[in-house]
Amino acid sequence: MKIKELKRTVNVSWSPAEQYPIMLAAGSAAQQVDASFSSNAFLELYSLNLEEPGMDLELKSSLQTQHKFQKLVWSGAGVIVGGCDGGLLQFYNSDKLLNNSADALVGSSSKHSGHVSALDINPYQRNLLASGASESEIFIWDLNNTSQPMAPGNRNQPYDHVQGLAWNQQVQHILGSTFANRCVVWDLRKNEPIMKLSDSQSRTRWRSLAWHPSVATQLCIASEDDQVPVIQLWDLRLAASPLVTLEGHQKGVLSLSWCRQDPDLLVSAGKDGRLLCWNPNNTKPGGELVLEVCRQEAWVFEVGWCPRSPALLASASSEQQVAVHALLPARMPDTSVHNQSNMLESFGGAGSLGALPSVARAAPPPPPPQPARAPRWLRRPAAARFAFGGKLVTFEKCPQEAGSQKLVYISQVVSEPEIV
Amino acid sequence: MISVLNTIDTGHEDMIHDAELDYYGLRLATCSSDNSVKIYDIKSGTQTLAADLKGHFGPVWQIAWAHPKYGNLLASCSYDRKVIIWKESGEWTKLYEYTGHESSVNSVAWAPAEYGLILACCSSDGSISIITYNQDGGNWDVKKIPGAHAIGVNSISWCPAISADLNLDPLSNKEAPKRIVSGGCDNLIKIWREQGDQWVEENRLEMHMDWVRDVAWAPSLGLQHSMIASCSQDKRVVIWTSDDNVSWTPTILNTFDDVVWSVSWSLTGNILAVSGGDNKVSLWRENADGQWLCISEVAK
Repeated sequence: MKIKELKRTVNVSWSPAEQYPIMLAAGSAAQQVDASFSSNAFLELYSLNLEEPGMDLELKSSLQTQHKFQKLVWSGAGVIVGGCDGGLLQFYNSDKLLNNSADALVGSSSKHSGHVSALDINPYQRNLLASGASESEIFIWDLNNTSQPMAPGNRNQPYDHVQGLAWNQQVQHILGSTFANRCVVWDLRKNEPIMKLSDSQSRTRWRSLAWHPSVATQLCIASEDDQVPVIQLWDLRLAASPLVTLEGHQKGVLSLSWCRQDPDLLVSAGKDGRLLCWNPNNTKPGGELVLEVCRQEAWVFEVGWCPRSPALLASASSEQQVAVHALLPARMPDTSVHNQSNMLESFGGAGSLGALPSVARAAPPPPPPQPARAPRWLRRPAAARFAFGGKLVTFEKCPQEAGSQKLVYISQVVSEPEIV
Repeated sequence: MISVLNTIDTGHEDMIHDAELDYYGLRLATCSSDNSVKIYDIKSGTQTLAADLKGHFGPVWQIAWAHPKYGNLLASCSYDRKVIIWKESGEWTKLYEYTGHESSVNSVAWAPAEYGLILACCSSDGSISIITYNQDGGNWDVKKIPGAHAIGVNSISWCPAISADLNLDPLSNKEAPKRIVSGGCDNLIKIWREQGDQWVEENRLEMHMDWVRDVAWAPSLGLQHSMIASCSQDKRVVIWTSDDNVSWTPTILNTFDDVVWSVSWSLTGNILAVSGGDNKVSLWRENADGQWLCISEVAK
């Protein structure tokens, strides 16, 4: 359910988990023109503004930039990286941005050719960035010293645009990359590709990819082809065919994000304007669709789980719309009741007016859907509760597997042992 | 300092999410991700299953025993968006079902018995409901605080009826205003006061940097001031103290190694039990200098 929005056509990135309070970085999207044909570009930071009712995010800082962005990522090392057209990478200091300081742009590089549309920050080393652009170019950057990027090996042939990059979530030297017709996995210690996934039977055009948050060998890749708008889960140990194909989008899938706090939740966004949430760990044919998060007219080209607060998703669409969604239905307070009583007061209070014409009050709308299975972050694993007479009731996180005993302990607490 | 009296194999088929002894310590209620609520009779080191309550269609997050002067009543709340009040009269049956929330109901708490039969519950839909049993009509009245915490309320606790509210003149025999504390996914703790027929936000306490998982208002017995304990995903436990229930001062009790999921006061209000995601339970007490010390740590 949408809880906040921003009327801009931008690429967005959540602030990293370390950053408090939570922010969204928004950079004017390249190859998009707004109604005024403005060519101005901005990099802006917004706070979620959750304390306030209403849909507005709160603008914290704004910097006019020379270039629009293809992709933005925000590293826990305090750097916001923008991928731009013409092989350009821009490095911004996030603290300086927040302070609205004019020299927030701390570096740039044009080592790439073509537009830089694939970026990812290593989850273990926050200063390691992978970037991809045209001609199969992939570079690994040290954000502390951006002068000498390294390549993960020889460029993959035939040369093609790098559509997506994602670091493995378990093994820090493994990097996944997608090209239109293949997915290549690199081992940075060996400096070479170790696996190539291609589905020769289908006409998929791969774009986005996401690694399983807890199973090192599994990843999902998504096809942006309108004829084959599928997401596939692969296991590198069984690289002959996908474990499951998630079918639900009606047009090409443009973005994927896998929830770190609950690996049973993967969200995808597509040209059909839908934001779908899946359980990719269920390998039944067609996949398990958990929830349709939202549906709109315009393409949704980017979606991401908030790294810090698990229940939140941000999406960006091509029609000036950034939206923050809550996975569970969370209705903002209804202000219309208040307005009505204000109105009545102006007319001398409700008593002076006749009864309202009885508008056929439809039954209250059914509650919005929520995932059939409770997200992991709601499940309290352990607690201790005091009771009468210094008794303490405790239970604890127990093994997940069926058959294991679910125990509760009742203990006596002696609080004044010196007296006893 | 802590000795285990009973170990109860609950027979639940999935994670346990809450376990509460009743007023006399004779009955234990448990609830679980297997959608059920179970009630055990506890006697001298043994236990027998007295009831297996099935009525929820999702994980049951929390349960709460009502004061025995209202009979044997147990409230339960669930991911299925419902609150059920169960009553024992010979058998356990559903007395009332509340379906006013749009999302998972995460916590239930009965008001101090002096106020009547009143239940507060809170939900991931961001709102709090206060459900009052109307003795004359035999029906339940609902008041709602919409938008209490953006993206969800995780926990709720009542201010004791006899509180350290120094502004009240004991001779005027005026009842203390009803208050509730809530903790949410906006990292805030809020204090709500009943005013006329509405609940108004009296205070918001900012200290936590991540979801507030549990809040507990200390029982007032023998305490000089009001105390609230809060714990959070940020691994910290904070003790909030106040002389007038209006201005609150935070003290960080401790920063733990893992997410802290529950805080619970002993009935005398001087010991706090803290339980975290690493299965560690610790007990804390304030010394004469106002410092909080860990007096016991249990790791199984």
